[in-house]
Amino acid sequence: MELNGPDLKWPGVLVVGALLALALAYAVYRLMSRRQARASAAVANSGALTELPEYRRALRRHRIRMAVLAASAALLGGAALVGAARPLDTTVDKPQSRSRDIMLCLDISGSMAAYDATLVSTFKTLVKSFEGERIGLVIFNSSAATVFPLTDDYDFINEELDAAGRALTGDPAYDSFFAGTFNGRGTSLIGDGLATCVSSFDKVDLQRARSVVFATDNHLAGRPIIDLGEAAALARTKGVRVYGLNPEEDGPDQEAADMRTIVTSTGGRYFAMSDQSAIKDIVGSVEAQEATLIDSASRSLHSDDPTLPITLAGIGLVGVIGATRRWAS
Amino acid sequence: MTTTLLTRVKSKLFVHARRRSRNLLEGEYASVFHGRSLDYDDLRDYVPGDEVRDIDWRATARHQSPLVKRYVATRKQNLMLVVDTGRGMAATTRSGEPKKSVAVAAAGLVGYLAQRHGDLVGLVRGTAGSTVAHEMRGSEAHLELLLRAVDSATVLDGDQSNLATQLRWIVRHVRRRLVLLVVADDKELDPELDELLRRLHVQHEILWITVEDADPTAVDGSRTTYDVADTYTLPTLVRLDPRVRAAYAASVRDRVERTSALLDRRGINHARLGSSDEVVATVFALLERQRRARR
Repeated sequence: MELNGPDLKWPGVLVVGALLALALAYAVYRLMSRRQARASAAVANSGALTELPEYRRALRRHRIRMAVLAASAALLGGAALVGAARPLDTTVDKPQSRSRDIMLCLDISGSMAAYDATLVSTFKTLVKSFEGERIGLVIFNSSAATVFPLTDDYDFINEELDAAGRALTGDPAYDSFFAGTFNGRGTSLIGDGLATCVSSFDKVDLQRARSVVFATDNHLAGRPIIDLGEAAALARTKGVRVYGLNPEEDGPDQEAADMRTIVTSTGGRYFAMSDQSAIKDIVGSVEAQEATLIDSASRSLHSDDPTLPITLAGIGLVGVIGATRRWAS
Repeated sequence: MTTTLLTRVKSKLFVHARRRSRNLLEGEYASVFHGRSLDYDDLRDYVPGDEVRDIDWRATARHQSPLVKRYVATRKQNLMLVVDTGRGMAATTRSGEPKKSVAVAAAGLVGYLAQRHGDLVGLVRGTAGSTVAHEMRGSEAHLELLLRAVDSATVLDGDQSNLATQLRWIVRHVRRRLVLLVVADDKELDPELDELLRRLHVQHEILWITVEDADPTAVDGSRTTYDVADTYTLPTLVRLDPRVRAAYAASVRDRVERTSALLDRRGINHARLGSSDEVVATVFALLERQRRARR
């Protein structure tokens, strides 16, 4: 987004107005000089008058007043002309979605229920650390559902994460949050979830830094269509890095070890939820990836911007009135 | 020009002051400048202004009204009109006429009185740079010529005024005793002029008439006012400022006082004129004062 100087909608008005002002000034000058030639009185020895200190003071006051009047009139006229030419505030808006796509992938199965609220707040902390990145949220249980797709509208993201937090703490008003997550066979179909997350990236033909923050305990309870290994392979082919975030309620068990292996195989890293540095490390490694700019077509936004001319014209008007007023003396 | 300048002067005398006043003025002039001799000429009616000692008491006793003895003048007076014809005199005077009209009216009146009295009238006129002297003659036509010379020489694009030039010329060139009628611009009298006056007064009899300038602070706001000296236009709003007007009036008052004091110190009779309508009355008063001063 870059700001240009004020443009004019009708620059011709300036030229026409300036010419008219010149013509008017000339006409007034002619009229005045003709009047002066017609009715003028020749006096002699006016030095006796012009040398008086009172005269000099009055002359100085008169000159200042005339100067103020001329400057104010010029300011008023000029500002009015510029205002009449309609100055535009041109904003060239070049929307760029900078950088990286991050898909937050949250397991909302029963085994995770105790941790989800914490995870959501972790996500919120995570989101705070990013700027300009596009972030999406997918939740999964027996099937995966997109809560919100990739977006860089951070207000929206925060709103949605707040709603998710409330839903996950059991607020009945937010039951609909879980809609669409029970369509599979069993619960906690982790492979399906990851595969959905990995597939949720758009602009697949663009080379972009894509990451999934994958929050699960890797406790499978059902028969997924795609197992975790296949999902990881899919992530690898798409160049998506998966960062694992495991609550590890049972300590570093076999599932946790599997998850670490799989996550690492995509180029991502594995963190236990208790790991204090998890967020910082995720942010660090996401940002370490080269950001790619998505350039959208730039567009110019024009809006009338009469503030400056109106202000100047107002000042000019005050000056004109002040200078022509007959101050009580 | 359909009417001659002198005709205008006369008409002013007739119309404005009526015949009696004209006699009065003539009597005034005669009593001021009449060179007395012992050769009795004739008697005429007394008019106020005549010398009381000229009254022929015997004749008066026989007659019903006072009669005055007239003498044959032993010598003619020489009246020299000294008129500033610088561009300052082409400017406006208090009444709105050009100052030169007032100058011509005043010089013409005194010149006419002198010519009627049989005196010779000459003219020294000029600007800061040059002086022109006209010879002295006693004819009306000559007086008319002199007045025309003054009138035509005084123009707005002429030279600047400086009366000292003319006075110095007289100091250098005139040996005879003259009556000088000085028609001056309304200026401060500088020490140089003062010194010239001191020298002139020893030799000549001087009458001083100042032609007033128009008050620039009183010229109507619809007219622009400029100085003839340098065509500087006085800003209308400034010159009409009441404070400026008051200060100017005070400064004029001071200047008039200073000038009067200076001329009085030199023993020179003087008057100020701001309109050709005032000429008769002012000249009368001037002559009156002159008569009293000569006693």
